[in-house]
Amino acid sequence: MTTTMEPQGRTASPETPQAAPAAAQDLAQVDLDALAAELDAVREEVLASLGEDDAAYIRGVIRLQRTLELAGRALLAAGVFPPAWVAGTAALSLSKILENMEIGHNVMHGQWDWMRDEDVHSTTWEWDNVCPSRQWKHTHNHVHHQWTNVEGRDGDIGYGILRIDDSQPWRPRHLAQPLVFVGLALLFEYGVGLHDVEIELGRSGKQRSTRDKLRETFAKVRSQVVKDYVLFPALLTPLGLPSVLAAASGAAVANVVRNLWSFAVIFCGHFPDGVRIFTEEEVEGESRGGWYRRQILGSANFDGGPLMHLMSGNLDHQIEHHLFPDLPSNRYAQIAPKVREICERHGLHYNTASFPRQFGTVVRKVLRLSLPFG
Amino acid sequence: MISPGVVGRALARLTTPFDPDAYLSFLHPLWGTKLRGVVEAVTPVTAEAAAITIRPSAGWPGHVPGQFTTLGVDVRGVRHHRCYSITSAPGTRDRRGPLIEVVVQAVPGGTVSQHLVHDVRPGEVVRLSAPAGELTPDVHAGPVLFVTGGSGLTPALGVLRALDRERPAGADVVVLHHATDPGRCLHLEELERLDRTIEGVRITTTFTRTGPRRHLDAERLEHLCPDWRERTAYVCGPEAMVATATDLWQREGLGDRLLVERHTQPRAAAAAAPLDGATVRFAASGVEVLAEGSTSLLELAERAGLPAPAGCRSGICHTCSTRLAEGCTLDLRDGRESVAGEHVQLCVSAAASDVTLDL
Repeated sequence: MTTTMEPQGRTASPETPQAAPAAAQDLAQVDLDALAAELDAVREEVLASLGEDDAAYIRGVIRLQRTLELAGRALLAAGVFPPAWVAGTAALSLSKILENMEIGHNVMHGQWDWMRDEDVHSTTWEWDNVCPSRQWKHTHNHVHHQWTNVEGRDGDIGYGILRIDDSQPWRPRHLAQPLVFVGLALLFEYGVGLHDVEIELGRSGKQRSTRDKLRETFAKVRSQVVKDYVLFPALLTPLGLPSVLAAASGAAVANVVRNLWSFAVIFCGHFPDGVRIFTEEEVEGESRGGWYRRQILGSANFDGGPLMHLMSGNLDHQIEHHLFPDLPSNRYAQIAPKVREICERHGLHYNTASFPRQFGTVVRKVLRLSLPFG
Repeated sequence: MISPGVVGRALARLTTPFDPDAYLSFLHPLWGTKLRGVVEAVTPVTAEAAAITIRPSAGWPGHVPGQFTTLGVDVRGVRHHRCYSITSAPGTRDRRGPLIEVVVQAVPGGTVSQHLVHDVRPGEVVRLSAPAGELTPDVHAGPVLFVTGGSGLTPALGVLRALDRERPAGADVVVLHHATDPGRCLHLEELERLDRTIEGVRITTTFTRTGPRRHLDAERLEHLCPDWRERTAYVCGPEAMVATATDLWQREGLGDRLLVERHTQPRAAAAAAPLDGATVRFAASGVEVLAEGSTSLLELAERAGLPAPAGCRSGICHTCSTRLAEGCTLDLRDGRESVAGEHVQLCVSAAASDVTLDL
């Protein structure tokens, strides 16, 4: 074993019974080399079997997303009729959810780079979200996935504005965090869009690099806003003001629906009870096995069938995603039983529960930690 | 009148952050702004070769006889690019629009050629590149000689079919084709017909494994085409044939009258050895890999999952040309060194030192 970790585990909510297995975890007792070898074998097996069916899957999802998007825009053109507005808004919401979650997030991880299709590639994909892909790949693929749940390194722990773990010191501003929580959910894409700017500011404090990133974000925000709220509605001016407003409001609601759903899925990934936060000292000199263990203990799944897999971008398998961020997402459900078996055999808590339960513990924690001594 | 550029930019504002091509090609594969083709027909030519008829998208610029296009084909989910000479005459079409044809010879173990000859079905969508290539003789400018072998016949076939269609006065074209045996010779009957019917065209087919078993040499060239020194010559075929021809022409000081297309993969022939274990950094992608002997930089890039542009994979088409930012590379064909600042062809280059590429 190459790790030097001390068993000084701190779990998010020690008083919750469900968190007990992780709390009892003695980090030093896991055979990290064996864990790494077994998980590497899972990865190799998937890589060796990638082929036509996988390619057909992602292309099928992309076709579905484009169908929903075109249908949504077309229905919103008739949005003065309430049923058309509802159907169009629903279709556009689903389209944006699919594009951001099952397509954009996973393509940008390089999950589909093996197809060598320049149109479905991590180096070229720009997603339907105000966050520039380049910045997302930095904050998410690099910072978050490398430093998952390491206090002081992973910018995603509470996104720098929420107190999400007992180890974070309480400040008076945390009294407002239930409101901040709701606000962030509604405007999640803007939070994501400013995340890299915020990290840059905190890390280097360099005005120049921060300003460049801010400018890049503003350009992306502008093109997104102009498309959704100016150009598409403007196409309907011959039909009169109500049609214009219906198209704009449909797009606004679709953006918010996507924000709420992606926020909920992502908060279920790392903030439910039983998920472990690590210190920088704990991960010093971490081996590959140690990294794998941190991904397992630092992530949480939620239950769901094929439709949930699709709509959550397969992040209902957050543990599998964090172990293998560049394996195609359609394979997570397939490897999940094997991953779970490996975790359990090595005495690692495989954190999974229903979606309401996982999200419920997140809400409770946000409320509790808004108070001092909470 | 609104220019297409203005329409395109306006459309891009609506489709942002995606290219309008993403939606146009979703509505119909041939409506996109990127060049694509739909396979219309696959006709066996020999047991191991097929003619593939492709309907190109509206943006297809048309080709000059002798040019090739790079086909982007998905095999087992992975995109591969290969160059194929266009064998149809310019202007070939049916009532729905222009058509092009390529003839593919299945290479044993060849991923793309095996797929195209045996598995591809009408309706399959392929990516196309704009036609390119310099094997485009101007038959009005003087006499022409093609020396071809195996699938190297294909650019000559494109030229012959164009001549068959246009029948220009005063054409003088000699084709010396080489095939292993009649069963494996592409379009043997058509070659005989073209030889008989086009005035000014003479086609001789030699079988190298049956009959007199003759490969190209000085004596045979002299015998079959005594005025070869007066002709603009094009050699197209396997490495050995290309080497023989290059040697013959250079010995006569006529190297500048010869154009060459290799129809085989290059083999490592470098005098100075490539540096095994050198660090190869792809700067734009932020990926670093280790060089492995004479494995081409293109293969390293592809294995790392980079969308490296690639075409012929044998140093012809320059699709994969990439700027070498730092270090030194070797051309696997002739051991020629390239240094920082030059563009190198990834498919025929290996690292001779730690290198950084603008990819």
